[in-house]
Amino acid sequence: MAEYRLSFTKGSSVQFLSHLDLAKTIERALRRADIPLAYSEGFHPHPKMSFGPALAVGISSLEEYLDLETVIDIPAEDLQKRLNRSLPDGLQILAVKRCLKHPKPLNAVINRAVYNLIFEVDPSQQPAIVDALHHMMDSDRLEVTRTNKNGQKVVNIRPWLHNLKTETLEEGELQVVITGEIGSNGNLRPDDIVQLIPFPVKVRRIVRTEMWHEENGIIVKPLDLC
Amino acid sequence: MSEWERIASRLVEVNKPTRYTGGEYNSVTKDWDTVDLKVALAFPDVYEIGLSHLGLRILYEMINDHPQMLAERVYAPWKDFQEVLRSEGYPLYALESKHGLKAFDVVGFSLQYELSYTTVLTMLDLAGIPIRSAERSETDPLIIAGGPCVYNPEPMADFIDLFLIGEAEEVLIGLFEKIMAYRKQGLAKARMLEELAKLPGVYVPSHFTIEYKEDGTIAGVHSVTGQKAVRAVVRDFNNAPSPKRWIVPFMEIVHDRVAYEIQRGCTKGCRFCQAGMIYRPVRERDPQRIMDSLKQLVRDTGYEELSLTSLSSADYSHIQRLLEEACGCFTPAQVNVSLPSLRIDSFSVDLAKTFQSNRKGSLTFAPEAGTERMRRVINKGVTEEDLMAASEAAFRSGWQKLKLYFMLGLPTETEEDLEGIVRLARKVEQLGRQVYPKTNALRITVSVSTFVPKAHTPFQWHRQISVVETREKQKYLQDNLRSKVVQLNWHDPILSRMEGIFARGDRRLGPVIYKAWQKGASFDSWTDEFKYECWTAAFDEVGIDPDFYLRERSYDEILPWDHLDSGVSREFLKAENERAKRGILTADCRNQPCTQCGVCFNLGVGTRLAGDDHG
Repeated sequence: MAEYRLSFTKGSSVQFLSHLDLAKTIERALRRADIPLAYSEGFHPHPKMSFGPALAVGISSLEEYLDLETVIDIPAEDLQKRLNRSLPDGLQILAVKRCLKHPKPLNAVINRAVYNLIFEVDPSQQPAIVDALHHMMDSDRLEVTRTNKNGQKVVNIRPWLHNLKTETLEEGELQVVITGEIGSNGNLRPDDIVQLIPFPVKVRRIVRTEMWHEENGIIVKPLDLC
Repeated sequence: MSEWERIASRLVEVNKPTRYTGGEYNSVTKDWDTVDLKVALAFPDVYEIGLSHLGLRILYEMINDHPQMLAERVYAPWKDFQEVLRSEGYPLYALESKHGLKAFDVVGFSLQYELSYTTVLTMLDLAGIPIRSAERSETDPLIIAGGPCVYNPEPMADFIDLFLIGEAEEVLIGLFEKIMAYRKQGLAKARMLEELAKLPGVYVPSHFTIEYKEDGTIAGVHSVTGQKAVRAVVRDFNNAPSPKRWIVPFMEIVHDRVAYEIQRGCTKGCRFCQAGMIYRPVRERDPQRIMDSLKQLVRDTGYEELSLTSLSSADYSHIQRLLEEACGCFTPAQVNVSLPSLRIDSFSVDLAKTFQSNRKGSLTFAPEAGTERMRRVINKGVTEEDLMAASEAAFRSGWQKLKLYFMLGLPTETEEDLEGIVRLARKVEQLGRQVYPKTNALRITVSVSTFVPKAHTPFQWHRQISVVETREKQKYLQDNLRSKVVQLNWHDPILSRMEGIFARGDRRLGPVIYKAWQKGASFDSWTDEFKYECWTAAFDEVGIDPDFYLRERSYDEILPWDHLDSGVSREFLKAENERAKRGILTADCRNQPCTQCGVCFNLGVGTRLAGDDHG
């Protein structure tokens, strides 16, 4: 038995995979790579594999995390090489670390995520949109409406928005980088920002670029926490 | 932003976006600019159904293995994504390169069921390709079609340039090499079709003219080129290509497993069964080859389930040994092995015990008819004792759920045969209660479909029962069958009616299909999408009485598919139909003397059973 923490990308076709489909895809890739996953005991054994915070369908990522347990002990570099050979395009293992002890779950440690949003906007509205975005950081409350199966509710996302930067890429094309809370203490969603812009914008692309654990201003990456 | 990225940015709006992205493991994207022939393999239904189909996987790999050709896949987009394509002005595209279908040299449709015909029209339209062959120009792709429906392709004759009848893997590459050569020579499409018509399996509907009598039946069929279409057949099935780079989808598909064909063909000779006639003779693969292939497939896909497929896998000569070997090899690696169908005997239950350690699921038996007499008529030589023995074996082995398949409206059916279905189901129920007196989990599911006479079968001359008759019979079963244990399922009689019209229709149905599609018919096999009013209006406007196609035909009548040769002789079909009337069984030529169906003689092929030497 050996435990590993992996970081990986999720792009191209794979960004449209649901959390469940992603798990199945990685499970099959591990089997192709002949890396035997450990399974739980019991009547319905399930693979010992757990992901970091879920990513909405359609958002790609430069940095996702996954913990898994294998029945054999493989050097981390081997695991990375073998798995990369059997993954579909869009999934790439960036780093693998063999955990010395059973790590705290990814979902319990990761509490910050950075998103890069690219919008198409009406060039005449661009300065106003940029102003509106910057104004968000100065507001005390930012209310968005969220819909779930129990209906709609209004949420103040301001406490979860930690940073926001804009950059004009070219005329009519705007990049917004947001750093926000993720996990059990709150969740900033890229959609929240889209909703708060008081002008029509077309979302061209959203990328999650980074995740980490932050406490009292100290940043630790998940791979350094296992 | 590239054109395709514009589409990609809208994929979050649609249901199941991975239907439209491609990029699956083992899919092949070849260099567009360095090949000479580009083929789009099209399935007129949604991704999860289309990718479940084995035939197109075989062809996809064969074409992509050719250095000068490429094959890409396209499935019918669901309505939400059709909306996206239309609003963005992007054509229906193939998943690999995202090129619109118009950019391909050939678009090949797989016609698996009659109710997918209008979806073919939807796909052509979304691709911006003129729908009728006559309206297409030299620069449009050649539109071809294959699959079981093309054994009577006439209703689709207006839309398809060329049909490939039979087992395409035998002739497809040869056909495409010819097309490449003719293109280089700059041959016009009409001339090219004349040349291609000389190849085995090829049927060019525009080369045939049909004359009709006043009563609507066919007076004569004239071939402009003098060529007759004969079904293509795989002569060396043991060595025939089978997919090695099995595409692993991102989403769950209908048959979400590796499928490996252990044999082709079935000669049990059920008289209603088209597959049992058009895939003759039986050709088995060697067990060693099967095991080698399975190991490779499991290793290269990472799939958690594999299926040993064929029309009747329990009949495979070494099925028990093969199954034991496969389970011994794959079960420890958490890979499940399964068979798609079982015979009604305790041997089959023993087989099921080998591969299903979990008996929570159900076992399915298909007696097809309720009485001994009726089963003799259809040549299903199964007795009541067989069914009871198999059911008892299943119950005693731990299964608590059984499914029983029956057909309604078979030739010569009487009330007694209907009662027989009820009686059989009750008997199985009683047996179940004896074995499991205390459980609530006992379930007998009775599934009844409506008999639809199909071309090239002994029952091709019979009439199909009406919707009203079907409903009466279904009601009888409903009133007499349902209990806490017995559940009844049936097919929508209107869909069976539509299937029957096209299964034995002629080319005068082309305008009806076109009209119904214009009125909004598409995805007809999806009960929620089926719009009967479009069809009734289309029949009215074209002036065709659909019941004409459901009636009984006489032996003298020229049938719309008579000019297509399946290898099985008309005399055999007729003789079988006569034997049916007298309730005489015909043996399986797999291990009994030849039944003179004509397929081996006419097509130069033979039954091939796997040797005992294990390879």
